[in-house]
Amino acid sequence: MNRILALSWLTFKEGIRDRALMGICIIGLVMLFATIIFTGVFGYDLGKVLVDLNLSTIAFAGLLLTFFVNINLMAKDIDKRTIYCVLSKPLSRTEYIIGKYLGLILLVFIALFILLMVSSGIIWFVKSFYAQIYFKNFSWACFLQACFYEILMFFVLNAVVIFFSSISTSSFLVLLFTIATYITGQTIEEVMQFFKKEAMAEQLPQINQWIIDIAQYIFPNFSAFDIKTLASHGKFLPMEHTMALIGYSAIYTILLLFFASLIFNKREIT
Amino acid sequence: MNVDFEQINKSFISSFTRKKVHAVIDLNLSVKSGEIFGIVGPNGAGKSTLLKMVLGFIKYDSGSISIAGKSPMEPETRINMGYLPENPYYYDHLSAEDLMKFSATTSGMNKKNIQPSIDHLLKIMNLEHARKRHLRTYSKGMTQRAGICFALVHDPDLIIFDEPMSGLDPLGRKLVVDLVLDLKEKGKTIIFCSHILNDIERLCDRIAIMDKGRLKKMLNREQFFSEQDKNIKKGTSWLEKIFIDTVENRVEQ
Amino acid sequence: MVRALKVYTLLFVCIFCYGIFHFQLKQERQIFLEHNFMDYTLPSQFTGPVSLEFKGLVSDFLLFKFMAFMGGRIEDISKNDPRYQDYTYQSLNAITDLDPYYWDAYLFSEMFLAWSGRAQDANKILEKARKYRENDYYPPYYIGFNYYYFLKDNKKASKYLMEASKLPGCPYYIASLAARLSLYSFQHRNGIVFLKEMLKNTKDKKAKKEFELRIATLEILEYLENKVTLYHSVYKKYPESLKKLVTSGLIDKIPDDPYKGKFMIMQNGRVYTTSKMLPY
Repeated sequence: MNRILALSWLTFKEGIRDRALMGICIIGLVMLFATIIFTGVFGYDLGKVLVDLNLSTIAFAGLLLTFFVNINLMAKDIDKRTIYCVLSKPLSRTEYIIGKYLGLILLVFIALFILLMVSSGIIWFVKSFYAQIYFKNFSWACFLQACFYEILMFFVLNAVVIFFSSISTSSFLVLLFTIATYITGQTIEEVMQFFKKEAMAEQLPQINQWIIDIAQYIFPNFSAFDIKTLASHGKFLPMEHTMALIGYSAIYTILLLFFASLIFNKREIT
Repeated sequence: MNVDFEQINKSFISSFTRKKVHAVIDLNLSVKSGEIFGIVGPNGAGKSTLLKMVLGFIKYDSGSISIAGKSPMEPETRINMGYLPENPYYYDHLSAEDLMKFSATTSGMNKKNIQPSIDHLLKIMNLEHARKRHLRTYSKGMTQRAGICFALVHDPDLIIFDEPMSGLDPLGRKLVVDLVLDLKEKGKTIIFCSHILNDIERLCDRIAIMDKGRLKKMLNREQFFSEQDKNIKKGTSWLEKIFIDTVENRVEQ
Repeated sequence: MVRALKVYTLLFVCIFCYGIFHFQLKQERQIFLEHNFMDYTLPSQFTGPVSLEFKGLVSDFLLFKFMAFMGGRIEDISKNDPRYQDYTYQSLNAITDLDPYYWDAYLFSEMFLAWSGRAQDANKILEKARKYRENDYYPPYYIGFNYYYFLKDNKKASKYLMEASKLPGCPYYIASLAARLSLYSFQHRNGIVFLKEMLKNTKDKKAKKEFELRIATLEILEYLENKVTLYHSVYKKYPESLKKLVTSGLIDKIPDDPYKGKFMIMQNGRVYTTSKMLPY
């Protein structure tokens, strides 16, 4: 355990000192401050627009962070052979996978937490600026719940990064696969709904139905983590829903890490 | 720490042509505790592959490797090992000190011994002024020395150096030579792999010459001295001659 | 020294030329945009999946685009081009598909669709609001109002207004309006009250101006109808034209329609305007 934590700390330190992270944080902060101006443009549901913009910024920063900093942290290890210095230590491959994963999510968590703090400050400021009637539906609980869901999604997405890094040697391929998985995960539910309606109407062959079902089991359902729209209208999801989602993401992450370590154990590092 | 290789075979499948490439063939070797063991050979002889098998980066196809009785695939085996890779590259944004701390912690070193050990090594390797600087700003030679610090910080019994002299200036080389001799005095086992025959000649107790995955020749110190007398031409060292003879043989075969 | 002078002169000339070309391009673009700026919105079947987890943001953006578009056109009253209304319907429909809770978009659909003769379309969009914004009395109120005021379907209007009156926060007059619907034909006063309610809840300056204009028009209509009723009570018949009101001394002159139309009197004594209060 000590060794895993040491590796996570190493990964986190390497990531936090990356200039790309600084750039992403600055972009995030600028976007957050820009929401102050943009909110004023809208007419009625100011609270909705404000929460939308803030949550979207946080999500966007998280995506940039995962796609460009975290993938780099993972793939560069093998690309540039920095992995030698880690694996020449008494760490098993599984410990390596877990340590790296913890380092990545720590990085995402800290970065998003900072943005969340700033964004809360901005919301508080804007709220005190306009009449309360425009913030009828606003609720801090909903805002925080949406942030929590978002961070949870990044925990899963980073496990996807780890999984693809264990298969591929090139950071570009990891990026490509991860983005593809992300897009699929975000849209799969909607596409399924559409297909199901079609299937009802036109009697698609049974095999299509199976493929659809299997795809839903393989790909993570990222759209379940997106409750930004609900949060912006002050709709709080019940605790059971949150628990179900936590359970789902935890088991999906564990499975991904498990497969990653299986593959990685077999792999030769040359 | 003894390292024994028994009938080691290793082949890679080249990803492009799907052809089998034999990297190590039927290799038998044993490195005794407390000796400095040198491996020389031309590029692609299988030296690095051999070292990577000792560290468990690569699995061998057949045969067995035992490191003081343990398999290289067990992570615990590496607690007492230090490794300097060929062309070492470390994390860009970490400092030498961060890396060494990581190395010491993961090896299960006692917390209060870590800092003195780091200070000591940095002083020896002349990196004290750069201890907090990010590795990205290091020169090639400094990176190499930081790599040596990383390999040695937890005071391992078995030390594996892959090309430790590359990129070092004469001063740095002297540092490393002194360090290796000092380590030998402390009774450490060192496996040493290099192109630079001169260094091997100076330091090693025994030398293995490898070519095309096979062990071609084993030499020990007594043989050095007897061979040295028969040194034929001026300006060529005896090892160079043996090396060239051994390697050229393969062309005739 | 001479060399430096040359370099700086060249630089200065380049910057000057850039200024000219930039200005020219800006003007050309302005002409281009004015001529070709007929917007379209992609259907939500496409924008939905493409906007990934940023559906809220995309709906904000589309609404912003819509507002920018309308902001440029709102003074352009004389045009009555169905394409504008098609665009309005498409974008508001897409926006409310992306975010079915988005009240701004529903408000706009009432404002721009219902009041420009597309009450049916407005109701289609507002039905979504009624479904998603369960505890909000506005959606059924608006739908009911549209049925009553524009579509003249008192039965349906009464049903929706009744529904609205049961939801929390609903003003008392809606219930009474719902109750009286079968007895009375529609009154301009109801429209005025409705618009004033909308006016109270909006922050957008353009929309406010639009509402105020409509309220002013409706108030004129109400005023004229009151005078017609007065005329009827005196002469026992409706005037053939509004000029009669002037000649009989009831009003000083026929007021101007803020929408640049003409006020007309119908057989049954009701007053209308030829502009129909269309902003386009």
